[in-house]
Amino acid sequence: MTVSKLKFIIPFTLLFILLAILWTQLSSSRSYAYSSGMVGEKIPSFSAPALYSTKNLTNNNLKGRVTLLNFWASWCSACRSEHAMLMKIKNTYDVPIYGIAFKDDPRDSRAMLKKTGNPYVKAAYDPNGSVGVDFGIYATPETFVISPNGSIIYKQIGAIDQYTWDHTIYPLIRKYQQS
Amino acid sequence: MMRLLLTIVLLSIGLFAEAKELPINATATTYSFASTQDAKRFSELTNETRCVVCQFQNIAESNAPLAGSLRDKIYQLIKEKRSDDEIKAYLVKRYGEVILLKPRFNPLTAILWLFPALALVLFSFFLLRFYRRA
Repeated sequence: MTVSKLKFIIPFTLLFILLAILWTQLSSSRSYAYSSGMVGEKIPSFSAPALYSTKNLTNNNLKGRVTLLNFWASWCSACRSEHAMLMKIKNTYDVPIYGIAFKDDPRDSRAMLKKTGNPYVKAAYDPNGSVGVDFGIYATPETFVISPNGSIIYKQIGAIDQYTWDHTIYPLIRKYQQS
Repeated sequence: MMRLLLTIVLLSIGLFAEAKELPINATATTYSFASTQDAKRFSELTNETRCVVCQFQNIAESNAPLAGSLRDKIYQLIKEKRSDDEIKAYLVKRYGEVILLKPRFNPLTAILWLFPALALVLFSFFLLRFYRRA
């Protein structure tokens, strides 16, 4: 191959490689839309005022067994539709659910739990959303599955439905419960 | 006609000049800072942070509940004397690189930053060859 031919081919090859890399990067960036680096990490240290007692809900409450931490709000319609599923989990499965009302008026949170039932072993509220941001939540409802040693093993964005529970969340919980 | 044209041009320049400035943070008045430097950092950081639940908005301009919480968090971190890099790292860890409107230079974003320069070099090379031949 002559030098002049190489001079012609190399820039084209380089351009092609660059375009291929750019395309791959742009395609893979779609998955960052709702990414969370918190999965696999220890839960952040937090302390949120409880809805029904003077003792705050803290990160230490979530250690020792597999737990669910649910961020919800009385003003969130998806949370209302998720509520029946949370009640079912509470009554049917051996998994404690902790709840944090995100940017909600505690009076509204209590009113909703009084009306529809309380699925939480301990419920707290996050008036300015600081705890929610520490966990990297986007909106409500969001639920974190937390391992006995206090690591986040799964993050559910949006309401938990029966299918997600049966096929994703509960199998994961069982795995950690058995180990 | 000339006067109308001149008015349009002047108005356009005025609008452009306004658009070039950092948007005024509607909530800035609710935060108090120890120094003007901290206030400036807050303004810059909130303007450079994407509202991840909105379309094409930063958290300085957004009224979304999450945007308000992120503003509060950045304010709190500035008060805790965290550096800009630390605050950005905090945000990226939770929401991914996408939360920064001006992504940091790292292996993940290198192609994003380098591609325009490399493309320009290659384009210039082709252009030069084309004109030399012509």
